[in-house]
Amino acid sequence: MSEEKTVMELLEELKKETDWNPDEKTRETLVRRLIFSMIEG
Amino acid sequence: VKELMRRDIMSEMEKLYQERVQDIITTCNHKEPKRVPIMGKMSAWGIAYSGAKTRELIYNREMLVDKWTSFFKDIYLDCQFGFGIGIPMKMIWALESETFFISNDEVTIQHRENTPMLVEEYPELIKDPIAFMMNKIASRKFPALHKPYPENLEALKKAVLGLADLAGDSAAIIKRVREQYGVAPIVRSKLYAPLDVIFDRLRGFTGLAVDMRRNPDWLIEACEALYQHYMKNAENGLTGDYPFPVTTVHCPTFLGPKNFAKFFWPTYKKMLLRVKELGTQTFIFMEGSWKPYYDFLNELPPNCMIGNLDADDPIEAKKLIGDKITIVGGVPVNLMRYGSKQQCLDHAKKIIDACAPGGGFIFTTDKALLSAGDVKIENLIAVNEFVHEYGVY
Repeated sequence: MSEEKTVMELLEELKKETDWNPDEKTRETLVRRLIFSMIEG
Repeated sequence: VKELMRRDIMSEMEKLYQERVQDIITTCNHKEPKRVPIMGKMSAWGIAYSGAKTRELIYNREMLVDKWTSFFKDIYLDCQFGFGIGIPMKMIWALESETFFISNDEVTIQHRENTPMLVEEYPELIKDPIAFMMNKIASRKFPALHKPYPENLEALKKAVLGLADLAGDSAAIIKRVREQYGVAPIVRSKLYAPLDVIFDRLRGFTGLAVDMRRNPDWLIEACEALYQHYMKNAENGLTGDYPFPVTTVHCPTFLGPKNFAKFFWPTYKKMLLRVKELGTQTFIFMEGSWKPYYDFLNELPPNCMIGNLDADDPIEAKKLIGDKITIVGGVPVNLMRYGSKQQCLDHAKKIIDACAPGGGFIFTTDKALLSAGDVKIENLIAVNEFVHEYGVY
């Protein structure tokens, strides 16, 4: 793991970055799905 | 003219789709529909049937939709459980994990048990399940998260886009199947049982067996903590009364009634009741045998659960739990593979005669179809055609 940021901090940053999806609500939904999929991965 | 014909077919298929959905909802409320609904449970089998390979389809949506849906033209179905590849391989690869992998047959996908939580970490799991499972567990499972910042962030970005692609693939397949065949998806959002999260993802067979004896209080508290998050996640995915939320249940068959009552049932029963309160019911794939737990299922209000049997006998289940639960079952895959066509048809008739009266029944195979050789295709075609014609109320 990066010494600088935890996975949760990275995920929060991912939610804010607009380059992969411009819509805030969609980003939030997809990041939530990513969290549950990572638990199952 | 072609466009008008296409629209006519689409509107005919949409009518068929709506009739099929109505039949499913009717039978799941223990009323007699027009016909016994027939459910498909094809996963990788759809790829095997088309002769394609999984890897080539992961990166080609158009080809995936064409190939995966090819069996619908040959096999009669009213509804289907699961569409497409189902496993987020692009996410797994983006995070450089090897937990899921494509088998040597180049079609089926397998999973290695990967449960890296230590027993002394229960208090952290209980305190904040999601933060613990991300900061501790995910970082143990996914090598890409160890890369220096911002490379690890880029890996997560690739992973989330891969996940979005998978959702897009499934949506494209569902659309094709609805428009071309009028076949409905029966399940949508996932309802994950808390004890199964611990069993499948955190502690595994050995860990859970030890925890039930040595750390029962931690285990109970962890289930409660996970319940909050998994229930909320399921609620976010609910879309009215249909399609149903789904659980594929794993650990109960290994527990026995005492441990089932103590560890599995309290939080999972709460989930089932909450889903019922929200106006729908839960479709459960009851892996292994659930016969030891039929008394627990009879505690539920009617029309709270749709139970897809695996190792249990549908006729006996109809008698013992059929007033409360919609029974989903039919001809075993083994009989479809090794039996004659007549044996399969005789078995299907026996099941329909016993399970269809009064509604509360959906016909399917006992197990999901994975590999090309799982059934003799002529048996499956004949059985579904027979049930479609014979299963009229």
